[in-house]
Amino acid sequence: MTIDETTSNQPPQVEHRIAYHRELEDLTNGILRLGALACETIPRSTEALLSGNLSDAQAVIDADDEVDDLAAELEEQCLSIMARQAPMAGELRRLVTCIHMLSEIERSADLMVNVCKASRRMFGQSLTPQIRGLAASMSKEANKLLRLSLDAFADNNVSLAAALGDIDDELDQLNRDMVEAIFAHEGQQEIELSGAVQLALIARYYERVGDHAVNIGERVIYMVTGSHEVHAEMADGHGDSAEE
Amino acid sequence: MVGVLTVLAALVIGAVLGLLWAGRRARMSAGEINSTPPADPDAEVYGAGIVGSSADVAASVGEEPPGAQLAASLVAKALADLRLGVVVFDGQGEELYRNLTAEEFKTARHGNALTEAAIERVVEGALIGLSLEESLDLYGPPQRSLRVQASPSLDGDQITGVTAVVEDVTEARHAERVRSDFVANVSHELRTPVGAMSVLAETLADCDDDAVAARLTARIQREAVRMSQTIADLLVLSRLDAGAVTASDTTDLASVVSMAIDRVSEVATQRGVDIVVDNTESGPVLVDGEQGQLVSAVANLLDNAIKYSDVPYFDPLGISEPVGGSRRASDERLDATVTVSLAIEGGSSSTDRPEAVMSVADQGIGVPEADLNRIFERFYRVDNARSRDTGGTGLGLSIVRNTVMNHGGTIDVDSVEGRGSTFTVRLPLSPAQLQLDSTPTQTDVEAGNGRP
Repeated sequence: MTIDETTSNQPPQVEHRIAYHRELEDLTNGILRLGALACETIPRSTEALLSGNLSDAQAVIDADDEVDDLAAELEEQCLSIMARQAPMAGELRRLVTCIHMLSEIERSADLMVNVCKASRRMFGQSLTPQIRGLAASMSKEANKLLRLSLDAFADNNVSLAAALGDIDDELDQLNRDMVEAIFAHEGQQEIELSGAVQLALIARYYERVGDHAVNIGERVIYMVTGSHEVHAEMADGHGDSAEE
Repeated sequence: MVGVLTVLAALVIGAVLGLLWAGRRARMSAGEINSTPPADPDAEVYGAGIVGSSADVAASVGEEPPGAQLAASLVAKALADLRLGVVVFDGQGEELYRNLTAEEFKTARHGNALTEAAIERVVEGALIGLSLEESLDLYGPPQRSLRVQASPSLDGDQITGVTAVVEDVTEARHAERVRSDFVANVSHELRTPVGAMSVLAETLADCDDDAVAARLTARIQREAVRMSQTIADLLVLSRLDAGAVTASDTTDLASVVSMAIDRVSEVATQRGVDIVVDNTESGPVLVDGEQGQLVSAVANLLDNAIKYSDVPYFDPLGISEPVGGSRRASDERLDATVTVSLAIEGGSSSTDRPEAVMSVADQGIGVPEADLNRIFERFYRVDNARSRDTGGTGLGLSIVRNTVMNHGGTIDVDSVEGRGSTFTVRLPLSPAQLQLDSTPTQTDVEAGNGRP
């Protein structure tokens, strides 16, 4: 097949659609790239927290500008496609989902910036091994959830999207364990009160990342099925995680 | 090794670029392509038409002698199999070729999405004539370090193409860090006691006070003991480095465990740590190996488990004082347990060889995840301040690993900070065990009933 054939034998409208679909594909890849950046910040921030390394923490805080810029750029891209291409049905839902996802992902990265800022504030304070272990586990769970939500989006995988709520229960449990451990260790004066407050916030930040992932999952369900009922049904089981 | 790969890649890429160019010229002259602006969305079709596969590469040079055709397909095959990711672009930045390794990045998911973004950035630079390199540290999981570089191919002043190469430098980085840390640590471990001794001796020479002199000599002795321990461990290690044991002896792992427990039981009692044995085998567990070495290895693991059951703090910077004064009254006992389990696993199918599995689990402070794959390195310490208190040489786990490896086995560690660590040793069973299993006998296993 040569170039001459493709351009001359097909009506111009088809080529127009090709460009449109390429734009949609670029947008999807952009969202996945943004998601990958956000996912990377999770273990990075945790390492900064656990090693007490201030320059690592600062690096994560600085790198957040990249996430913000990319998110703004992608939002522009969404709006531009909507304005020019008049998308309908599934494609319209995809675009709206993308816009929602942008803020969920961008917010997740912000939460990790908060973790870094909190670890900066508790510089020089020692952590008990149990708390370190719980923080590492929460980080791993949060990272896993966000990655899975992106997988669900990329593969249009409704059942994975629907399972995120259940997977998030693990993270919620870790959050409760963490709060308990903070109380216990502060009570035994193994950590300082100011550190305990920061740690409780940090646990909350990880837990919120999980909630954002669950939200993404709900959006993906709507995007694929077009039904809010599934959405509501899914949300019912996890009222605490879906804050909408 | 990496250098050789890179050079090879450069050669191969050069050859392929040349072939691609020749192929393109041939087609253009054949009049199949009139003019194709690079921004056209169909440009990909055009690119793929020329170098979609090795067959295409071969076909495009079909007019040339058969030797060239073979060379082209071999080069294409070599490129495809390369462990480096290779992506070739034309002078306008349209992708012409991507080998199998680089294909993975195109899935644009997670770390791959970021790798693809890095490729785009360096290629953009190469298109205006810059040779750029970017290091990418991906936290994953899995954690990876990549080096992404792109350079323009020039024909006079004209940029005719761009080649981007992605190299996985995770292993190389790790090896580099291990080496530099080792050099730093070994000089530290050997110099510190010698330096201390020389200063102490100097002070002693000018000392008239008997009480001070006694204290100084005691400290010199202590440093000398530490030094000789380190040297002894280094000697053990170099002996183990010499290679595998000539496994002539058959040793019962159950009695190895009980002998190891005997060795550490005093320390365990002092620290208030219980040792529990969980042996699922009623008979002996026979492996080929030297009993002495195996007992030392197990005792070493037990000693660690006991030591690290007792330290409630981790202070990475070593600067903070425990809040509220002393953290533990001296007479207060820990109520910790160290569990040693012994079992035979596998052997259910013919491919799955049965092996002896021995694990030592503690409920201590655990190992931070970042250090988990490094603790078997020589002189590696998770926390320098703490290790000096507990008085190890920093070689114990290296010796254990080498011993296990010399016996044809493996050792793994699993740990969550604050919950404890589990070291699992797997050793191949002795052929004698298999004969034993076919004729079951009731043998004495003292280690099976708890503490010695």
